[in-house]
Amino acid sequence: MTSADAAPKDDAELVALCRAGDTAAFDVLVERHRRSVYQLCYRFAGNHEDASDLAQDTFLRAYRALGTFKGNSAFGTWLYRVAVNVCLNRKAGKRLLTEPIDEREFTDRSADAADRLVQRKETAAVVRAAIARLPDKQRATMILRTYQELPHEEIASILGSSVGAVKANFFHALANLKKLLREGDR
Amino acid sequence: MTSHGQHLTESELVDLFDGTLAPVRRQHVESCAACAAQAADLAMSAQSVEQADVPEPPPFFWTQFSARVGEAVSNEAARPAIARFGWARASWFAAAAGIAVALLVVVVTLRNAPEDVSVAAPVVLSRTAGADVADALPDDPVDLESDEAWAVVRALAEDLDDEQMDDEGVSAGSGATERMTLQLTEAERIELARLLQEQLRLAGVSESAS
Repeated sequence: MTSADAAPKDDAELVALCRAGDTAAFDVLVERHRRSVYQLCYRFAGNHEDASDLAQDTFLRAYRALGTFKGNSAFGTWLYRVAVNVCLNRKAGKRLLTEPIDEREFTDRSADAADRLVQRKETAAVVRAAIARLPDKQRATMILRTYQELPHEEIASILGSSVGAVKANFFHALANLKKLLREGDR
Repeated sequence: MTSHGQHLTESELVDLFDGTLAPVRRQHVESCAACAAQAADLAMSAQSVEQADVPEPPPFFWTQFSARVGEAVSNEAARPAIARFGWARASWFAAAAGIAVALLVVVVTLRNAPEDVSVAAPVVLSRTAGADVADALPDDPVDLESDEAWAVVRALAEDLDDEQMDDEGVSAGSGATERMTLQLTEAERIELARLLQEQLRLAGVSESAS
């Protein structure tokens, strides 16, 4: 069996093929998970360039570490764990920058729809900047819970903490965000 | 006070937000202005967070991204086996490197110790046939690039990253291992390589490492 066989394969089968040396199987996994991994990385990085680098690094590290994937969790969950570690480690060594909030030069300000779009983009950028200021665990919890829509148990598994700690981090992340967004309004 | 009357904990407020809070505790929120206000705050913050979309990257990005990852993975697959063991097998590499670091520390420390300080023979040397092999071995500089024994040590060191070292409980400052290893004589390097190869054999991967 190879990844080129006609029938679509689940992640576990593709992982098995990768381990047997079929790098094309990993290409399929990349294609399947690249968007969610990129989005997760973007949530941490706050800009496209860094998100792209982090996502690429995530897949390369995942490939190297495939031997340790036991299949106890979904491949996607395991991949998120790799991505979170990559993002948090990179952040420690490099101050990531968020993209500029104002993108109005690309829009028609006179149109209501465009104004709403600009407003929405500005709000999104402000929220992303506020999230970037959260402590690591709170930020990771917030991102995995709100954007990746993972259950607390899965987040606990990814972050290596308890469900109680995940809930506490989520609570404090939201409370801190409220403060940060208020500061931004002043 | 009954559990029905107690204010919601942080965890319960999150459960309320998730819609998984027990009915008896939900009744409390209906009669408690403070908890209701906290729950409303939580929901409002969550709502603002949900508005923060990730901008869609340029349309050509995904193709380029997959190509870049594919290239990196191909390069990775083409690397020698010793350099691409997974975490499970790589963990013993870290352990072996940990041993190497420890040995190097012992050797360098002892070599730099004042002469009037009496110390035991270094572990790395005590396992060789001679009583004090270090003194008997040549100390001439050698070409490290063409040193086969040294190549084994280099291959191990190159395959390690900080995460693996940390996971194995081994930590050293950046470049510390390199600095220490450069202080070894040729004979000491050979002995270090021999010990590492012995560890490789014990782990059953000597063929891959050679």
